[in-house]
Amino acid sequence: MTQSMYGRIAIAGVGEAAISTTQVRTAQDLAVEAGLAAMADAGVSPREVDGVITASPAGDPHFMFSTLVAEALNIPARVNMAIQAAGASPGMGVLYAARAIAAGDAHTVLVCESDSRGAKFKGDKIQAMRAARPWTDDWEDPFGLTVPGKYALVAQRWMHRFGGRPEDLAAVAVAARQHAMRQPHAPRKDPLTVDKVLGSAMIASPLHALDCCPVADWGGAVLVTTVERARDLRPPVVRLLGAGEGHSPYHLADIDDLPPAATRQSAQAAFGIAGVKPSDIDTAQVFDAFTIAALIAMEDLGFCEPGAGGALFAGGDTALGGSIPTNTTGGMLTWGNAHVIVLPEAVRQVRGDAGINQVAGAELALAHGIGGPMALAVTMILGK
Amino acid sequence: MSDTPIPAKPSPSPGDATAPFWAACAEGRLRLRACTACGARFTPTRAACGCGCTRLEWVEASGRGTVFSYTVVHRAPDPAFRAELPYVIAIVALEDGGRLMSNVIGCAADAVRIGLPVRAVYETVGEGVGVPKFTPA
Repeated sequence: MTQSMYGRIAIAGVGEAAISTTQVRTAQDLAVEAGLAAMADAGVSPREVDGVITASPAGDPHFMFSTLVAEALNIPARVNMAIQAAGASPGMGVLYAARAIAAGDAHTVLVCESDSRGAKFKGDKIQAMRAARPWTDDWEDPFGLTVPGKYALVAQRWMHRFGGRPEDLAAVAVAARQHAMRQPHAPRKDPLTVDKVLGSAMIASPLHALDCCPVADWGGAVLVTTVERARDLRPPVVRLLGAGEGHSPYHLADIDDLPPAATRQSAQAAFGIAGVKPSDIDTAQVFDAFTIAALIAMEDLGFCEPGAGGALFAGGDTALGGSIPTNTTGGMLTWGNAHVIVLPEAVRQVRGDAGINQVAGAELALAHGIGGPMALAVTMILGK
Repeated sequence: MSDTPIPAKPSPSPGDATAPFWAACAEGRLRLRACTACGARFTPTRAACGCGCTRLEWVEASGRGTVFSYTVVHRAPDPAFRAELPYVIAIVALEDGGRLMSNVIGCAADAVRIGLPVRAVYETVGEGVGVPKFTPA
């Protein structure tokens, strides 16, 4: 057994693609632009990178997607794969990149996630997303299940278990908006109240339209390398101090209990490896495609007691100056379903480079990805 | 209004492992998989038991259960469901073991609660293929 890779792996570059709400851009173009930005941020050229890991775009699917991206960027890859872990793909990508580097199979791996769902999907976005999916699931599709419906089933169970209310979910959207309102280019930045969330159209009870992220295009990338190599690149070095994965069954009906154990599993591993506890974390960036996902994630990550997630968001703990400033970009609820959004922001917070929503003195950041209605989870703890 | 036909809902495409489940539903019966070693029961998404046993047998289930969770869907995934909006999707915990994703039909959407006792009713959707739905018991 080799020495643990944690503490020896760094994220040396971060980048995003520019998003257009009108122009249709391919998932490949978005991945390439984000990848170039991440490499430029680190100060490396494609020929100095030897691995590419991508997600598998669902709105604009393509066979061997990571190979396409490596080809377009002219990266001489020794490690190359596309991950299918839905919203957990970017975080899983970082873990597999770290493992490949620790094993000596690569030294610098570009991890990117992108998708084309915004301008490309005309009309009803829920139907467009379903139409883009090439398979039928025997156990869910005959009954008319939707993606918001899956999270709604988790939310209903959470409310039943803890006496939660739709207001608790709405508090997550309101908190995200407060971070968004400070940013001039945020796509959603008009003032938001709990009443406004509850007054928006019902999508799948208890989830209203404003409990759901916009369907959008995105591209984001991070460059993973050794701490040794990162010392020669852009300062400061941001290290991966601990990480973990969690896995539950694919079908919600087959998961032993809701919320699924995946986040508790990934959190336990990440905190154990990093040797820190939730109260040591200065900022959290968590998957929030739906309000309920971020709410439960904060509970299961240990930032509050189970059942207290709504109060955590409503009480200002997740705001700048609160006990755990969360989703300081405004999250997916602001920017659209860019699962990768948690990663560049966690890195920038640790660098002290997060702009107007910088958490003062942030030393430890947590990034948490969730995939497949909370069946998959990946937790990462980053620090200098 | 128009006489545009409503498109068909997606229906199961049984594979070898699951065909007996859907065929039983077409005959108005619910079947589960049972482990021949430890007796655990589950829906046919599982091909092996957690105890390590891979010899599973089909057992008859009562089709009774309770609502484990539910949602009232107001935005459909596909035009085939639009006429039924809003409709109820529920995870039903079967009294004989295992859970199924399904619809609760035959009652007002706002009458559905977690814990509601339900029983299976069956819709035939193709040659030898039925799907289980649930209605208040």
